[in-house]
Amino acid sequence: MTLAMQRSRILRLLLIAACVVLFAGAIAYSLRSVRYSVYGKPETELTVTKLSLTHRIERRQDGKFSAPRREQTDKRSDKACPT
Amino acid sequence: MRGITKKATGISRARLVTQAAALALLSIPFLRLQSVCAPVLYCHSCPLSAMACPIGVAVNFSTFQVFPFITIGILGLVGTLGGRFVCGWLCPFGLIQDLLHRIRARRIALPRGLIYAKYAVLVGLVLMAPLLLPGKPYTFCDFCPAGTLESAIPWAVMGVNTGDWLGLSLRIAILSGVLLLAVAASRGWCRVLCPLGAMFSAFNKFSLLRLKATGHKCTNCGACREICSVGIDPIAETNSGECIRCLDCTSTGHVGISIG
Repeated sequence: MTLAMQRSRILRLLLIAACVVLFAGAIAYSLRSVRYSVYGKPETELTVTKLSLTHRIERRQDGKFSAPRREQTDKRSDKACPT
Repeated sequence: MRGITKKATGISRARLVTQAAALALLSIPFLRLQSVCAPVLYCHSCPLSAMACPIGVAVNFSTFQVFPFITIGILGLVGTLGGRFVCGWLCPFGLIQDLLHRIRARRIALPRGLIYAKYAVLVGLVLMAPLLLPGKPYTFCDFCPAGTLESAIPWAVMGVNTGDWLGLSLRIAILSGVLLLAVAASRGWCRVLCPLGAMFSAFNKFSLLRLKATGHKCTNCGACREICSVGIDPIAETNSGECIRCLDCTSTGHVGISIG
């Protein structure tokens, strides 16, 4: 392995390490700190994700999440709505 | 060449088993992991789906004008570790295409320039359309062939209202086109239109799992090119963004797997 190849491999491994830290950090940051106001209560991104799949929330002008004006989901289940 | 074909068949078989196992695992609804996305194109509206679709989540969060930290984190980690490995070995829609491509039919070669369309789909239909036209039916999910196959059709068959018939007909027409493309061109959807593939392709250049061309063994026989499921030259374009890491080319002995 030439010196140039070794250097590019080290750079690549550093980039991989940086990406792992960045993306794992994004997940950790979300779980630890990110909260959205949903129906007036602070909820995690995971909850917002789940509610968004069932179209149970929409974002208002003030940035808070509320129930949609027109109910689109089948209330009998929390299954993601058919698209 | 016969030995190479035999080895490649073995790899394809292993891949098929892995893809089927992934599909089975992602189809256990009582796992109730729908708040987390799986790094594959599998519609969360499918009656069997256990996890969320990352593209669906990205579309919803674009509509909300909120950054999807967890989805991007999951996709980024998976991409950093394996590049497009999930496209080749885990994606259920990839499995469907691989099975369809086994049908004996006339094959077509896709023009090279078409591969850039998937980046336009990612930016236009996944990120911009829901952001600029929230609530309008012009997002990726409204045209997604995986969503049509796994969700819209099953729900329509079960008698659940899935919107207007014109919309459903359009979706079925798009799905039919994509399935026909899969028969004629191996992984046509993944190569040309898949926005998830577009995301992962950015990681192929530096991911931990990579392919290594063993140049000294290359005899210019063209076997790698012939075997490649996405129509690239694995020797000249090792770790190209188009490579789905199916590993078929490793059966030639001229391309190896490398970690790190």
